[in-house]
Amino acid sequence: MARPPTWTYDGIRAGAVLGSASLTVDNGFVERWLRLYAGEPDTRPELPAGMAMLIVMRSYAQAVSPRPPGNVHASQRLTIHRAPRVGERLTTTVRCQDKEMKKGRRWVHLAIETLGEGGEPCYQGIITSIWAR
Amino acid sequence: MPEPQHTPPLIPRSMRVGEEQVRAYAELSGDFNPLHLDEDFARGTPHGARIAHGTLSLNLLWQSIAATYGAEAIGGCTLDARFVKPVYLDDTITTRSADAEDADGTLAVSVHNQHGETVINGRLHLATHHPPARATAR
Repeated sequence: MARPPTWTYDGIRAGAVLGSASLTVDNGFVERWLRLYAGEPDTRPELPAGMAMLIVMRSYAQAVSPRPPGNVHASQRLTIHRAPRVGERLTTTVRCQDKEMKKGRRWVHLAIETLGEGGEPCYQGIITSIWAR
Repeated sequence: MPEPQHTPPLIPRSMRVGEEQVRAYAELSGDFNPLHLDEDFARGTPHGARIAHGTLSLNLLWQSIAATYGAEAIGGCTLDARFVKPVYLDDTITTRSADAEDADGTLAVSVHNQHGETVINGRLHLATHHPPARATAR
């Protein structure tokens, strides 16, 4: 199977959906998380609050791939609507909200939405990256 | 007349970001960027050495928010954050906040390294005001 083309700045269209990915977090994954972030309370069956960005980034990396090496994650905005549950299937969609050239840098603003099994939002946000090429 | 409720400052959280933490986070996040894992590659970048994933530090901020206001208060929270400085291996990072929210209702939050340098700057908007932290929060 042919490798999909790399998502370059020129290939990203403002307003377009770049991709989506599904993820189900099991107990083993949460336990690895709790070992890494030892101070995080175990809130199961709901996922720890600190895991929100991990889920978003993991899904984003899967949905928008391959990306050019050297992209820089500059800023982000995230709203947590509710904590997902262990075993819940989460679907994240990544859309290009806007892109712009500023001082020779390629800024890309990606709107991210993670929906729970019932279709209601768990996480919504904007990731701003400086695209490498 | 009841006193207005104020958002209490964050309960700080700290973490040493060593080899074990960076590798574990790469496995969890699926992000194996050589900038985080390959010393030779990282030496040739403007950073000059390996740096930790930015969201590894950001997650600590969310953890601090949950510890301060309670997991049940997280729904509706919005965190705006900007990565301003890299975190290098063996740095120790700590979360902080202002003592009170600004007039716009947001609380200035940040993550600092062991030298007192800011690595993440952000603003937290809580959906509602909440009482001070639970006694069990660390």
